[in-house]
Amino acid sequence: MRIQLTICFLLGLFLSGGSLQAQLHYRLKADFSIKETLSEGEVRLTTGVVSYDLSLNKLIYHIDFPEKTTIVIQDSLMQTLDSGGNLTEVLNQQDNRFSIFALSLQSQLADFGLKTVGFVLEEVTREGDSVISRWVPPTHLEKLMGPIILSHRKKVLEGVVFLRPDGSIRGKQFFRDYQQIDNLSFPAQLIQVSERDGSEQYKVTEFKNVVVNEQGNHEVYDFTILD
Amino acid sequence: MHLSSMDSKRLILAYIVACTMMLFSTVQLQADTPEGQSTASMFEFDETRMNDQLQPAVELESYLNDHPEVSMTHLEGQGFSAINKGFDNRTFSAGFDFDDMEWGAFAWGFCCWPVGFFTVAINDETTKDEKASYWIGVVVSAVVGGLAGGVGATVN
Repeated sequence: MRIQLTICFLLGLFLSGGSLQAQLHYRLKADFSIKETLSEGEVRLTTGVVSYDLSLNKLIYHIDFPEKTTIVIQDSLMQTLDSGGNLTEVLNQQDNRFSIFALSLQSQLADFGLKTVGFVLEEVTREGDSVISRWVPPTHLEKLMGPIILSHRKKVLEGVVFLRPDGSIRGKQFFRDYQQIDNLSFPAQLIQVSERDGSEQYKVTEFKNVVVNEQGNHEVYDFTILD
Repeated sequence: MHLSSMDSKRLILAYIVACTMMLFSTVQLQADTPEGQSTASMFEFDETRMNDQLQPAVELESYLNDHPEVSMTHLEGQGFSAINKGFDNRTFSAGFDFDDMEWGAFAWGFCCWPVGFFTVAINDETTKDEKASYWIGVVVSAVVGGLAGGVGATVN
């Protein structure tokens, strides 16, 4: 009897753990600030609120500073509505599905979504506390992009190095200060480093007041700029 | 349990082979990194320089947190004008810049745009950077051609 109870308890524990792991995350909202260096030693600060809904694949930035602006990014379109009511539309070169928001919500940030797009894990090594993995692009992308190297510490993604096909470094990203919000692991700080004219340029994005799976408030996540 | 002389030799041989393979894999990985950098060093960057450069933005953010309703004119009066660069939507997009220039595609546009149109501009296998570089090449070619024509007409 005691053995049966123990088995039932362990089974229950296992199943509850499994259901927690499988919890669906579909929405994220956060206050953000972006500090970036520009050419000639200038810097820019941008702050506001960002929201993303996985099913709509719609990324919305409500910017407070330096001026009230709304940006809606969906599919191949990026719409910008400034405080004067002027609307500009440009081709979006990024896919929202590979944004930090989508990758985190789908628990794909650990491999940076590389497996999904056909990258192949070529090599894994351990260097100190970090596990370094090298991913090579699929054959049809080999001429366009080089390998991507990921660094993990304590099983969370810590850094990404993007290489060009010739092996030179195109850029780096670092994910720091991971927070656990409703069982979702989300980095509160993202550092992007790019090299230009022999010197490093920096862009630091920080997130605060992160809300996951907000119920209701649908208009925030499906905000539409009317033309 | 005692190992025979033969077993000891096999163990030592296996150890040497394992060490050699580990060494080879490390050397192989490092050889593929840019300019012989170790993989770990590729993740390094000058964090002190970054913090120094971004310090004015940190100070401004801190001031804004304490004074959320402050106007831009007020901020300029507080000496924050140096970082008042205004909004730029390139902050949120992967824009094309000089660093992304694909010179091969540029050359197609500059020197031989009709052929480049098929090999670059409408080729599904070329990147956005290559397409953008091609069109920049076409425009630069047209401008240079126009200037040369103008100079030639003036001389004649």
